[in-house]
Amino acid sequence: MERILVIDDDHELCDLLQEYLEPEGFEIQAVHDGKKGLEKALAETFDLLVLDIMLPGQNGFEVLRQLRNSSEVPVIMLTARGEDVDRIVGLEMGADDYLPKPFNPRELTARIRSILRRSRNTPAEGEEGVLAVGDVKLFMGSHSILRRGEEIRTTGVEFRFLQILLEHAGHIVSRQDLARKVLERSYSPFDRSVDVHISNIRKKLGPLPGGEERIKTIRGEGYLYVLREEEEEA
Amino acid sequence: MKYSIFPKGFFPKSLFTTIFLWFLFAVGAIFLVAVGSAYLINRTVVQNQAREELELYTETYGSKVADLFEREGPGEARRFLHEIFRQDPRFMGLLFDSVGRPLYERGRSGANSFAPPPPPDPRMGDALREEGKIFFDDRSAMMARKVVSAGGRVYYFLGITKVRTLLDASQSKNALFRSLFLLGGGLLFCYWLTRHLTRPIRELQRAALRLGSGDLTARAPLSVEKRHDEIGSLGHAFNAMALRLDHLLSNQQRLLRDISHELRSPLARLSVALEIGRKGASPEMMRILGRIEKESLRMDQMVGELLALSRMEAEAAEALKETFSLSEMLQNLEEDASFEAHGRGIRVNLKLPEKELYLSGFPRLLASAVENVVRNALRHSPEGGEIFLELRREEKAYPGETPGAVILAQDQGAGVPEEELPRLFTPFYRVDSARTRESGGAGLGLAIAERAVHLHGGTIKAWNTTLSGLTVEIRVPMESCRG
Repeated sequence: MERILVIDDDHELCDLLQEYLEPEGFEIQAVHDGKKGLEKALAETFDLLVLDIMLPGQNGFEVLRQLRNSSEVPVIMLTARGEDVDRIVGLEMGADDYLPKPFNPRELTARIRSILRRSRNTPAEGEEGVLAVGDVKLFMGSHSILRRGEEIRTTGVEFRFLQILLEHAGHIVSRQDLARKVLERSYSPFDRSVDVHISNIRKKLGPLPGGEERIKTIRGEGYLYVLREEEEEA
Repeated sequence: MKYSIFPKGFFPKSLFTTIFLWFLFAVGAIFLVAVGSAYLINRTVVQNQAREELELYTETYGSKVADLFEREGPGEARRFLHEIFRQDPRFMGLLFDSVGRPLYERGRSGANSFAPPPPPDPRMGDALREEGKIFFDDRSAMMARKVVSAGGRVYYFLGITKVRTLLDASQSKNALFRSLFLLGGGLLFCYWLTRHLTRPIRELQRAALRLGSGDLTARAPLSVEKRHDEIGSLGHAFNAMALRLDHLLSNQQRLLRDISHELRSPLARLSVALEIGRKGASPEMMRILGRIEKESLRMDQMVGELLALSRMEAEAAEALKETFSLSEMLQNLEEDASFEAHGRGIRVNLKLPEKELYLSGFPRLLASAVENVVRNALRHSPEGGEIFLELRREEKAYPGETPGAVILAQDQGAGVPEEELPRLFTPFYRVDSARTRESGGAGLGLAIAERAVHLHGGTIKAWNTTLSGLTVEIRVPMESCRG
């Protein structure tokens, strides 16, 4: 049974979520303020966090920032609808996904399942699998990334995005494909999640050794991981 | 006061230059008056002194010289005068007979002549004619006195003395230097004074500009506030105003966030409760629950749009204007719209200007304006229809002939009844409520668009296209365009 920590100051909502999610096969723990939530998240092991942005005391961004210092546990943020900035900031800080509040609980269940499946499945896909393109190496088993021998830390979602881009290195991958394969939902217009995640990966990996952008945006089509011949040999 | 003796544009617009020039003018005038009056006073003093000295000199020596001349001849008289000259070289004396002929010339024994022969000075004749009156030139003053010798004969004794004035050649170089020095000092003083007056005004203006463009932390600098004069109190008043504005806006912002949070919490609970209720509900119950869900979603959407609408002003006041590419913005929106339209077989066509178009403003607000217009077009497009989007630059987009960006969105829907057109942009307005509600939207989309466009100083207009459908036109002034 997967353990999920819900950090939300709305007691009643937490109760309702517990009532709704436990029959679905999740163990729900709820904390109602940011500081305690962070302590609990770091002290115990959870499979996933549901984190509200508007929290008394320490807000969700602060919790997320401190959490990401030491933990890569998947996080779904709950943002107020229309607060595009919140959602983009949250994704930039390393949230795996977001859901505008009020949300449909079926949608929440679907996203929780999709994220959990990814973090659970990948090791099984290939215990020894290594994906190397140019100076970047992806270790499927441990979910770790090496760039010229230096470890790069990413969230699970970012790892998946990078994996798909590397698998298709030199070819354009559309936003739709990326959204479907990684976020397991169809690409929705006016939603910039894919772009924010890609931009995070760009920041973490930096440019190619030659100073060229690693991941190119092809306007109207999608993204392209740049493949260079000379690197193939290296 | 429209007329002026100075040509138009003679005085520069800058306060600094104006005040500086006026100060300079005032200081120059004061300097000239001071120098002039000093010169006049000095001259009077010098002349009075010369008169007194000459009176004393001629009175003391006049009859003596005349007696000597008469008793012992011109030689003695000359020797005597020479002696006096040696003692006080400021004075010279000449003796004339009763008709004004110089007497020392007669004997021209020369060697011990005490003075050079008098220069052919016309004033000398004047002095002799008007006895007792003093005559001046640049360097000297002279005065004749009638003396009667012991023998009863009439002579004229002429005394000449050197006069020192401000324009004395020996001093003029020094004086020029001093004047220049004074003038330079005055210039520096004027510059300092003007700066002292105009700099705080400049700083205040800068702060006001920053505040106006949305930087609510803009304050008049301490150097302005510290002053004890009117400018200082202006600075105080400005800062008090800015602080109040800051408070008001952040309060409003906080209130909006609170409302957003508070209204949404019950909605969030409602939707979770609904799903719990759905588990194991009968088909009839499912139908009703579905209805409840739909209404709660509608409410949520309305809250969202209302907040967006009321937040807009606050956002425009808070955000800083930036220059962004309208072309790129439209391209992104077109991509999104195409994606959404694809499912319904609607095509979206975008026509962009050849040159990338830049605009200074609030990109998020303008994007939401165009997005709402495009969504509206999508909503009303028939299946398989087309939407035309166009962006262009017009040099005379406004009555004032200012250049502007024009954005057109045209759909092939049913359009809007002519008489309803003016109300299209009022909040909660719906042409056909049942139909629109089915396609979503709380009726705030176009109201949001209008407000965002107005915040950019632009206009938004809608009309029915001749064949079918609605055209919405957004015009935004370019301001600092570079396109």
